[in-house]
Amino acid sequence: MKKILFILSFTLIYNLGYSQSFYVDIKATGLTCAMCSFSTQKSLEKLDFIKSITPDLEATSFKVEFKKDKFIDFDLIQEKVEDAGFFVGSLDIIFYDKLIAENDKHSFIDNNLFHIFSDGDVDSNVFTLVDKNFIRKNDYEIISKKTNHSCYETGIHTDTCCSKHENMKSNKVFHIKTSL
Amino acid sequence: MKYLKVIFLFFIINSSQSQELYINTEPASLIPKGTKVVRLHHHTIFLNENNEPGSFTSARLTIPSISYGISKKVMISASLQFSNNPYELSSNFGFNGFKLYSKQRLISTDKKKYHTRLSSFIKYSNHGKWNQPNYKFISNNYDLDSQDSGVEVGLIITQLVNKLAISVTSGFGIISNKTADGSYDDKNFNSIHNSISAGYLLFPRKYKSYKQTNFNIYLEYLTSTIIGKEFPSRYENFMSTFAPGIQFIIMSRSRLDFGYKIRNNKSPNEFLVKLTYIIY
Repeated sequence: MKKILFILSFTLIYNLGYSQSFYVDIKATGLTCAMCSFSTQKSLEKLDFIKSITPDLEATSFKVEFKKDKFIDFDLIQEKVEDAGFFVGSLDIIFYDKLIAENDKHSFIDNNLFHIFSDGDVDSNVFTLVDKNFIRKNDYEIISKKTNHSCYETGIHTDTCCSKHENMKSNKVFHIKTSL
Repeated sequence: MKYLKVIFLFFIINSSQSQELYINTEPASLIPKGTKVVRLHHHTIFLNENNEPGSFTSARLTIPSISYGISKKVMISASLQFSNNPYELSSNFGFNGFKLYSKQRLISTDKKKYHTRLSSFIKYSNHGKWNQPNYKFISNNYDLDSQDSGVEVGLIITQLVNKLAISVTSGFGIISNKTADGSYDDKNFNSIHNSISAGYLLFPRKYKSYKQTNFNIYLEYLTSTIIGKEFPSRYENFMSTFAPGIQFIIMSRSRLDFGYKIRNNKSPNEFLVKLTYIIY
């Protein structure tokens, strides 16, 4: 029964017209001016799965909402920020509704496969992307020790590592954690 | 020199925000991949009979340039120069040379509103096509950005701590002055070009929108030194320029810069206006 219980609320959200059941908050680092933020935004706008970008110039962060029925490739988001000359400090994934996270398990949300880490079974709606390229090496090593799924190392979903999922638009699996 | 230190200290103490889009030097940061930056500069070098015997009027230089971000690690830029010949009495204007520039990102570490950037650069200049026989606007000066020909390679480090950005550029130059008829007016000589730049954001105090106009003030100190003993006698082996400036950033994609250059050893001063636009 400790499965993801948000499907009901997800259906509700979907019907209310939300594009995806989550948005992200990207904290970019190294930005010092409005010109830098604008360049970063322009670079992100090239991604076809992004619906809207709302910058917070003072915090140098971007709220990014996505188009529905799209696979969200967080690696591409990082690539675009870096193309503009900056870095992703952290990327938070915020679900419109709380989801009950069972530690070290996969869940298929919209068109993305997420692998969720949590300290105990917490219900939360804010998660941090903890894939290898998004966090510090030390943090990555600490989390690595707590899972024996090879997908955390590779970022790729395989039948041997994980349970089988149908209709996947990408074999990428992203790892999220309730708190770092 | 003493007041320079005082002003730099002012920058450090009052650094609530800063900018690194320097007016006279390049920051270690690159332009974003795939973007084009177009610029138009206009320089007026105040020549007169005292500071440059034989000149009839100020030198007026118009420099259009375009930069392109090839990747997040390499950018290139090319500029053309059109100028008058201040040593001719009749009014005149023509093509006077070009400059090619490339910058490569070597190290980039970022934290929130903090970064250290190290880049290398290479510059090739070919100027002095037009205003013969003097061919240089300032005869006892050597400056690859405006009037001389040659190559320069160097490093730029830009450091932002507590929102203060300071940039140091150090370059090694080979000045090879060739007049338009192909003869060499000067012997080749080598030079070192060092500069320190600082920028400070005055307005707005808080960023809320891309539409807010930013107002920045800049202070730069540029030096050139000839290496070795063999160089034309009219040069001094150390030159320095003190360059204050102001900048408006409009709609987060256009820049309007105004700068003034104060040169040592009675060399002429200079006023410049720079217009920059980013094409995404």
